[in-house]
Amino acid sequence: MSISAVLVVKNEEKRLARALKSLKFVDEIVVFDMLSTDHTQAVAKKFTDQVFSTPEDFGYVEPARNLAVSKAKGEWILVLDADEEIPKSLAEKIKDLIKANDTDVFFLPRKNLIFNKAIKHSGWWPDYQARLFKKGMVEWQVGVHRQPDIKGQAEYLPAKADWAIIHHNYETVEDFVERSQKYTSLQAKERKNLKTISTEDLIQAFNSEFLRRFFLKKAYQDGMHGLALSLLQSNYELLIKLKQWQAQDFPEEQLNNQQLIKLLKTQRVEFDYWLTDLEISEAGWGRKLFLKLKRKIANR
Amino acid sequence: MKNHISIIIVNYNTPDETKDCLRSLDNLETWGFDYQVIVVDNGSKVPLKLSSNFLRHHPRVELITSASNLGFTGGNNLGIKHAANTYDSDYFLLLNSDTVVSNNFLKELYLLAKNDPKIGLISPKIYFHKGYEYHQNSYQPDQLGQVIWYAGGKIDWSNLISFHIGVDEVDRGQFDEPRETDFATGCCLLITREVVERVGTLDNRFFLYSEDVDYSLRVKRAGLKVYYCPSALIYHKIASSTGGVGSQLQQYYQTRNRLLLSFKHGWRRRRLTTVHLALRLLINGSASERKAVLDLIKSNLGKQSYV
Repeated sequence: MSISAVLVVKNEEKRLARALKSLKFVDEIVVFDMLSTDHTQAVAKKFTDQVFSTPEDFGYVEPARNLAVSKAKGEWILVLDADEEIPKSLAEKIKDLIKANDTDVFFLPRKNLIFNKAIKHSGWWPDYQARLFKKGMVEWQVGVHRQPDIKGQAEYLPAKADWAIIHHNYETVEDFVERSQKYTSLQAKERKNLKTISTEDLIQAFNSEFLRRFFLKKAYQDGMHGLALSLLQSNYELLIKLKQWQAQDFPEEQLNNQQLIKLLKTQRVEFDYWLTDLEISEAGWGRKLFLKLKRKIANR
Repeated sequence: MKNHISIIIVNYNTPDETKDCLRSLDNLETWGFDYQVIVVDNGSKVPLKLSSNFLRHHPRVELITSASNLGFTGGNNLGIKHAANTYDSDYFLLLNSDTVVSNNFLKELYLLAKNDPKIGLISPKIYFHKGYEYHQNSYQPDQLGQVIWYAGGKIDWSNLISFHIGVDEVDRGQFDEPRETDFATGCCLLITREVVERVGTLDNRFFLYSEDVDYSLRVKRAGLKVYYCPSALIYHKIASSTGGVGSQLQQYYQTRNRLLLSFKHGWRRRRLTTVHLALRLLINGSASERKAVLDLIKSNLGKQSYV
């Protein structure tokens, strides 16, 4: 059984070597370059002679992935991005996996490193990706964020840290902010606009996302990193709302103090709810009962 | 980081409809989210079998099995629990097994939910599947397949009746505004994770029918909104898993739960109306209606063997 690793890249001269170095165990590496303006191709050529250029810049990787896979000769395809790497333990596992005959597509867990730390909560783990498959069994579709089309028998590799792709997801704060810029503009257009954006919408957009990430999805268990991410993601939601507001030409709204107080008080109730939730998880059974009752009364 | 939506389908003795439904869920349009389909076989008389060939072609589908019939409520709750544990889902979508969906329906529901964090529940616009309309002869042939089954829910508290807005009307664009509604339908229901954490899951005492109205009222009490989303569209092949419209089983659960609902949510005056209605049903009602009232009084709730 032979494996081809396939990468689609653009302007990745800094990160590509790390990814390619981790691929020493495969039989062939195919790199597809989307019209880079830096030395990406030169870096790639140090590791493989299978370096191709796409005829155009698709803007996103999915359509180019299909092209790249079509150039690969291996029976199995391993798809990797330039900001990822395969640890040795996963490389060993992959060599085992492809001996299996009855599975066509493996979903691999992916460990997201953000600001130098592996993020475990708030939906960042196991972050399964369909990346190891028999040639022809996975096809990407046109369109940003579309899911790949999968044929055949799929299997999820158990979520063990040793068997995970390492994803250097956001290495700097700048990374996060730059990507937020790009995607919030797209999403602001895509989402339904029901009515004029209000003061309440702005507060809600940020606060709800924060409560959801930090408390509901337990980002606080990732420490300061969890907090930082929750704040950045709330900011992302706020940017979408602000850009929708902008599309409406910034209509004004002036709440009087009473309205403002009422609005902020509802925010306090929400915050208290989740804070109590955290307190309950820490408390002994007697205090637990007391807190639950108190919350029930407060929510009436 | 992408959001995850778990689609939960409870199958009870409807293998063919379920498979049709699963096929329609194959290649949904997505935008910033992943989805997975969980089929709960709810103790069907002939257990649901999805061949390895079928699963091969529908890799997002996962089958879990309950040994006994847990009802619409229990089956869905089992699915929600499984999804939350396995996929850490951000949203849950309950979907009847006798439906067929349009390609962009999930994306439309998702984008509406994302746009307003105060929204807790959303149902789409639902048509009768072509050929399943109640009054087929009342329509022009080209109107079949465009007849509304649900375009929002309305609760009439003085008569203790809940009904679907727009039912039996041909869609001429008269319900195309997204808006808040009295109740979302369990036929197709997007639930946010916040709802599950704060309000809980469906009330098992209902077993079948009205659980969606009860859930909507509980969600509103928690300060969240219940919405109707007309840009998402699905098709419903009505009531194939309960013996059809007007069956005794249907009459039993509908009567009992209608009363249970108003005891649970009604104000004092409404409770009086309820008592009045209960008495009337005891005296004039059919056998299944009388049993329904008696069971409610004896608080024999959940699944009750009828017939």
